[in-house]
Order: sequence, then structure tokens, then C-alpha cells
Amino acid sequence: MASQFDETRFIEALTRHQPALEAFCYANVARREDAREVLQATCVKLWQKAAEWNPETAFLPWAFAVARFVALSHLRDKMRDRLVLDEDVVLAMADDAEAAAVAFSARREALEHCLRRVKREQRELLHAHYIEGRSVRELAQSAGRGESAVKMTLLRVRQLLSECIEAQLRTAS
Amino acid sequence: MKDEMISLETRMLTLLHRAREERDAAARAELNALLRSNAGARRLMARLLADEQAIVNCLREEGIVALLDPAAAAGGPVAPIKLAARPFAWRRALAAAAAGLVVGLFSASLVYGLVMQRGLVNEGIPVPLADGGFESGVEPAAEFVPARTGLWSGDFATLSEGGPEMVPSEGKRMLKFLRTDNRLSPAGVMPSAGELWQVVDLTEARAALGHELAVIEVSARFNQAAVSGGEKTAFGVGLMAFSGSAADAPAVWRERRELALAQADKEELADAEPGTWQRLSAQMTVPREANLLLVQIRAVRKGRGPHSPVLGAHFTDDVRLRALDRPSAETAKWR
Repeated sequence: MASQFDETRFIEALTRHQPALEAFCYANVARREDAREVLQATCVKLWQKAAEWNPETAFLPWAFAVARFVALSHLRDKMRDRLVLDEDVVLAMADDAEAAAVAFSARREALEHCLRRVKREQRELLHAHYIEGRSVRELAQSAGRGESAVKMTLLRVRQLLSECIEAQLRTAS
Repeated sequence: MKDEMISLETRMLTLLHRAREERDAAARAELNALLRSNAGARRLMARLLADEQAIVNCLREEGIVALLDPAAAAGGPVAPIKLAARPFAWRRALAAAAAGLVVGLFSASLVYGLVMQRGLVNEGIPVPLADGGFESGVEPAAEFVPARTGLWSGDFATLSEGGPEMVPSEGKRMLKFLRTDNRLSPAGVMPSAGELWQVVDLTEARAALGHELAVIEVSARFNQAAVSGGEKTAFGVGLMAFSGSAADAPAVWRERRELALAQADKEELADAEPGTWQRLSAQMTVPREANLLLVQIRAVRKGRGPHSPVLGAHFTDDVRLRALDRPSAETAKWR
């Protein structure tokens, strides 16, 4: 088990890097509920292996390696039709998922700025879909609009946020 | 390269949605195949998923702030879903800027579409349009805006080989507008226009061209047989660019004010000369994020009061699409 000092460093690192870790889990499984399960299992596994982490080395690469193992195990346990990405694709995407997760905090910061430029209605739509987990069908019904229209609206907002993030990052650099 | 990435992003977000929300096995298979074979797609997918997580992260945090400090969060996002009638001013602004046509920002009437007068200057390159001359013998569908590419669909119309009152502008056949409604029209509604549409895949057009599509032009010839009664009629051509899948086209058309990435349109009163065909054309700057185009041709009753849904003396022929390097400034005007 890690020493008291190491445990403090470990908790600090895990807390600080949890958003990136969550992004990494999400980039591996592409579905919110699966990502939550993988993140939870990863955190448990990281706690169990805390003594193996050397606080003088970077936390994220080590955590990603554990998370990848957990994600693959999760994929194997799930019914195939419940999954978005196949196991070989997840393996092929490993480096890209890691790079995206490493860049997460910068992109998140840029996104925060971009979200301020989004109209209230668009934010409400994002909130309803991504936070409340309401499906496009539900959103279309409650708004009295066609499913395609809601789907297109979400797609459009996503694309604009992507563009805005890239522009923000270019400006920052 | 950047345009290819945007097109790829659209494709992947669409496939991801279909695989996740609609449990569409074909979309899932296509997405995985794409990720297997394309390193750029894998990089982009990882980024898109991380960004999605960032959206969740930001909105979740705002929600917590709203709970802890409602005053500070005033104007924040946490509220029951209510889609606005016009949620796209911001998008339009960015899309317009992305297209390099900032004028669109200051225009109250949407977009950076261009309307062409007669007399085009640059030659252009043909963009494939299915059965633009109506020579195939395939009757148009009467089922509103088509949900797939490669066919004409809209209001009741038929192919005609003509007769004493009218001969095709070119070839052996032309299209005759029959009515202003279609099989899917709600009962009791009497539209004034007989319209036909075709969805065109811009990805294919771009590939066929071998370079980016900057400006696209639709043109068509129209004619009206001698009519009694004197009610005025107009003919029109239109273009609308959007992104998504062809299946979205009917919904996008219904909500085009919000969902169209660009539009262009040209309408002209029908003349009283059945011996000559009127040529109409409209040009549109193609936004780089657009992957589909909706082409529209129409005949519109312009008289006041209740309209008969029956047309029958109105014809169109020789509908063409072509790609231009740039709009012809001499003849174009901002819409």
C-alpha cells in the first residue's frame, strides 16, 4: 500500500487528472453510461495499484494504461450490439485517445469560452441531451419539432463548437 | 484539407449519433470500418469524443454553480428544454464568416446566397444532376422533398413529350407541373406553388471536380402554354445547402430558415410567349461544411384569393447544375 505521503500525492493527482481520465474513458467507449462504468472501475483499480505509482513520474500515462485495460475488459464483457466501437478499433485508437485526453484541459478551457457565445436555447438543448441524457426523440417531442431537425441542430452546434475551440486554441498559441 | 476534415467530422458525428441513439447496426459497422482504415478519422474521433466529454464537464459544472449560487448563475443554461424558433443567428454568423462572406452578417434576410441575373460570365464545370433533361422516362415522385439522392420528387408533375401547344426545350421530353400539392400534403391546404426538388451529394460533386466547390449555379428553362383567364404565374429555381444525410432533407426544407447553411433563389414572372423558353438561374456560395444540396424548381400562382391546385400549362426542361470558380460579380447581387 502507498505510504501516507504517497497517498496524499496520489489523491491530489487523481483529483486533478480525473477530467482527463474521464475523457480518455469516453474516447475509448463512446457511450456515456459505459464511460462512467469504466471510469469508476479505473479509479478503483488505480486505488488498488496506488503503491505502484512513483509520484516522481507523470500520473496520466500510468493512469491511461490502467484505464485502457479496464476499458478493454469492459468491452469484452458487454454485448457487442451495446457497444459503439469494436475492440480492435479501440486498440488502434489508443494513442489518439491518449493525445486527446492530454489536450483535454486546454480544449475544455477553450470550450468554456465558446459556450458563452452559444445562445441560451442552444445551451439548453446541449444540457438536455448531454447532461439529462434525453434522446433526440424525446427532445423533438417536447419541442414539437421533427427528430431530424433536432438532430441537425445538435450536429450544427457541435460543429460550431469544434470550430470555435480550434480558433480559440490557434489564438492562444 | 480543412474542408475534408469538416466533411469527415460531419460524417462521423452523424454515424456516431445513428450508432448510439438509433442502434443502427449499419452505421456502427460503417463507423468502425472508417476508423479501422483511416488514421485521420481515428484522431478526429478521439478529439470529438474528448470534446463531447468537455461539453458534459462544462455544463455539469455550470449546473453545480447554479445550485450553489443561483445569482451567479443567472443567465446560465439550466432550464427545461425549449427550442427557440430561431436558434441559429450565432451559427449563421460563424458559417458566413467561415465562408469569407462577412456581408451575410449584416443581412437581415439570411445568407450569403447570390442571385444571378441573366447572362453568365464564367463557363463552369457541370455537376451531376439526375435526369436534368427529364429524358429518362422515370416519372417524378409526388412525395414532397425526397429523402434520398438521384431523383426528382415534390408535387404532382409528369413527363411530357409535348404536343401542338408546347415542345421540349431540348431532347424528347420535358416536365409538366400538374398540381400544387402532393401525396403527403395535409388536407385542406392549398399551396400556390407546384414544386419539385432533388437532393445532390456534394461530396460526390467535389470528388468528381477534383477540387473544392466554391460557387454552384442552378439553371432551368421554363415555359407556359397559352392560358385563358389571365392569372399571373411565376417560375422559380432555388438552391439550399445543408449538412447531414439525404434522409434529413424533408425536415431541413421545412425548417430551412434555421437549418439551411446557404440559400439562393430566383423567381420571374412567366411571359406570354409559348414559342420561347425562359431561362432562370441562381448562384450560391457553397459553405465548406455543406455536404448536401437541395435543388428546387417551381411554378407559382401569383393571383390573389383562393388558388386552384391544378396547374397543367407550365413546363420546365434542361435543369443544370454547374460549379463556378467564383460568382460573376458583374451580374450577381446580394440577396
